[in-house]
Amino acid sequence: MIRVPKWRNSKGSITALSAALAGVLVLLGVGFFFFCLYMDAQKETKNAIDAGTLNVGKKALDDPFELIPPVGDKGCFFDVTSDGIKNDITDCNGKMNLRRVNRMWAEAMLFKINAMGADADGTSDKGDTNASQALTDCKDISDSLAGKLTDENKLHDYFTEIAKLNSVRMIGQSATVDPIPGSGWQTAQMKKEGESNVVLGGSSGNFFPPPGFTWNSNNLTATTRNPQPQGSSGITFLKGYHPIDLGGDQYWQVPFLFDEKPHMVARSDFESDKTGPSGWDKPVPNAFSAEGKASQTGKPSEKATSWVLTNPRQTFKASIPTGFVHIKIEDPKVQYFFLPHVGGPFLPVGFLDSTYGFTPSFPTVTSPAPIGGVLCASTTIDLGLGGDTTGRSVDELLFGYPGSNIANLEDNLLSRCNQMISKPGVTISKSALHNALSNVENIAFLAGGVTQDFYLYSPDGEHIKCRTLALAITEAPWLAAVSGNDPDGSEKSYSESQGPGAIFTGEAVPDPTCTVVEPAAPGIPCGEEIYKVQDFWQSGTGYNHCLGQVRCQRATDCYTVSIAVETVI
Amino acid sequence: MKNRILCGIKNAAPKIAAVCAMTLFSAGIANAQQPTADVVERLRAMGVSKDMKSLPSWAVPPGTHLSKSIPTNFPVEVYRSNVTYTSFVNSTNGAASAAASIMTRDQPGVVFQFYQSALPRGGWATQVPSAEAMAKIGKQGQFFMIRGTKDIQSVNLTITANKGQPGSVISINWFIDRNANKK
Repeated sequence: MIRVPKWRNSKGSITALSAALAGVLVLLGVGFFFFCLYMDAQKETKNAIDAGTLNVGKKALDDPFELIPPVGDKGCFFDVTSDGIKNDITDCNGKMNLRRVNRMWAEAMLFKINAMGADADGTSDKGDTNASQALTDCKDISDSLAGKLTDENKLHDYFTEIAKLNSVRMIGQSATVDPIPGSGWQTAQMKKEGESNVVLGGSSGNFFPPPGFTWNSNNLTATTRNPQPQGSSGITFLKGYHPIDLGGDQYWQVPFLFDEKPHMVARSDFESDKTGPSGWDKPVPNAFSAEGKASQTGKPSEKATSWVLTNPRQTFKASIPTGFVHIKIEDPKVQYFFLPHVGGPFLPVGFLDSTYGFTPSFPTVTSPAPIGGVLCASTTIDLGLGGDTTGRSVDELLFGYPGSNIANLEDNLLSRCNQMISKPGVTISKSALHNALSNVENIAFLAGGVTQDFYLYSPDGEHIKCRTLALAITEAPWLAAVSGNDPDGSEKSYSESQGPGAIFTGEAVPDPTCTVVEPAAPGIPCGEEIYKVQDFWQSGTGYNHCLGQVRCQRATDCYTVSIAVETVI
Repeated sequence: MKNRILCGIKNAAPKIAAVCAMTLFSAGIANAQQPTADVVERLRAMGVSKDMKSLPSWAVPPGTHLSKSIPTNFPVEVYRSNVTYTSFVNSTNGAASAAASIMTRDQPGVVFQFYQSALPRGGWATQVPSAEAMAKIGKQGQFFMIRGTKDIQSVNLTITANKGQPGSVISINWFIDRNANKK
């Protein structure tokens, strides 16, 4: 028989065990509760930080900014300080920000491209200098903007305004979210070699460059998003964070992938892109990190860091919105040629030279001996001038009869017109160019002697027009201030074209003892007009808004044939 | 008596001489109005045909060829009514261009109406200046113009009142528009 000590109950005690177990369970439960509170607090804090950071990414697109004046230094970029694409100068507010910075770099590129085209033509003159100045100005603005974007103090408010709206009650009833200044606020340059938000007009094979310039395909790309989003097919973008070398100068773009929303990114991806592209000393960032904490006095706080890649989700076209081309129709000239003797040649009679206009005129002109005709004392001709200019549009005056092989002029005008267009997807074809130049209202202005100056411009960013200054400024008021600006290149002349024109009649008075045989009788034609046309092109980079000037010189050479022979009685 | 006769002859001599000179001069003019064999020979030596239907090369504006008749294959219908004169000039270098000229006793308005239907009949797409432009141009009834295009061909046709005599001068300028197929 086993003896049991008195102090031990032979039946045992479950209560103590239960109590102990209950205690443990309660402890576990409470611990789990607080653990959940902690995790929820962390989650709330992370959400708030994410929201604040996302807002930083969005708001950084528009503020901070650099202020550009409408005229003077850096004023050449005022016309791209707008989110609009309608070439409306009233939309421009002078603010150059992250949303618009690619427009500015693209415009500087176009100035340079036009200068390079003029270089190839040997007509650059001051164009290279102006393009260089524009690049310097562009860099200054870009560097200053980059500095502001990397200054976290300018972004804290954007963080707080949204972050504080998120609940962090797990921290405490009156907990708040605040930025933590310091190393958690950084920038990065992500998506290198990806597309920017600036597109070229035209398509691969023809982006309407000025003659003498060819785009390097390494500077261009289709969208790099995979799969390609809807609407991106056939679009050519400038490459971002990629040195675009133009004549030894480097131009830049910031990548904003087509139609991609601003979104959070992984820390590892952000960190790997904190170094800017080689060659860009002060790259404009497109990604931001933000660090904040949720806290309440007397309670533990939570902190978190988030990373955002921003994107304005707006596509622009490389353009010079307030660029124009000036077209000057010179006074048509008439010169007279007579036959002084058998065998010729025709000799010009300089003192008879004059001008005519854009309506028909019927002068009577007399050329005396010795140049009045072969054995003629004088020849008087009755002309009908203006057959080549009357009722002609600007297009016909430039390109019409006698017809001229000036494809180079046409290509220069086409290139400039497409640079005026700001709406993505819109291109100006040769047909559209000639239609604009054929504006019939200009015929009346020429015929009425009102003006011989016309302007090619885009009033709305997607069409071009050719009108007088008085009418143009009703649609493009900015023209009033800049129409007097001369192109910064030098002028080149195209070869003169000529072709047969109208006939004219006349009467010759023979020398004594001579008889007129040509014209055979009064009223019989004795001469032929030769119509001539010569065009001139003066290139402009667009730095001072003038993209170029066309001059058109029409002329009529009047050749009179009057012949008399000696009469033997 | 003798002195009176001599005095009379003396006074009349200048008048008689003048009449003789005028008679001889008039005879010369009368003869010159009809090309004599000698004149024809002189013209031929110059390279000018008797009927003036062709001129030597030195009497033609440089870079052109002249003929007094319009080729049958000229792509624009030629006006035939009351025609008093025709000529045709084509370029010999540079861009292909030509000008056909017709003088007619018909008034400009009549000719204009003819070509308003003749050009479309020939497959030409035509344009005329607007009424506003014509008002600015002026010369109402004395000046008309039509522009026509067909494929890469273009014509500019002007009709003006003949200054020297009743009728019209028609000028048809034709050329190949080398930019047409790019428009």
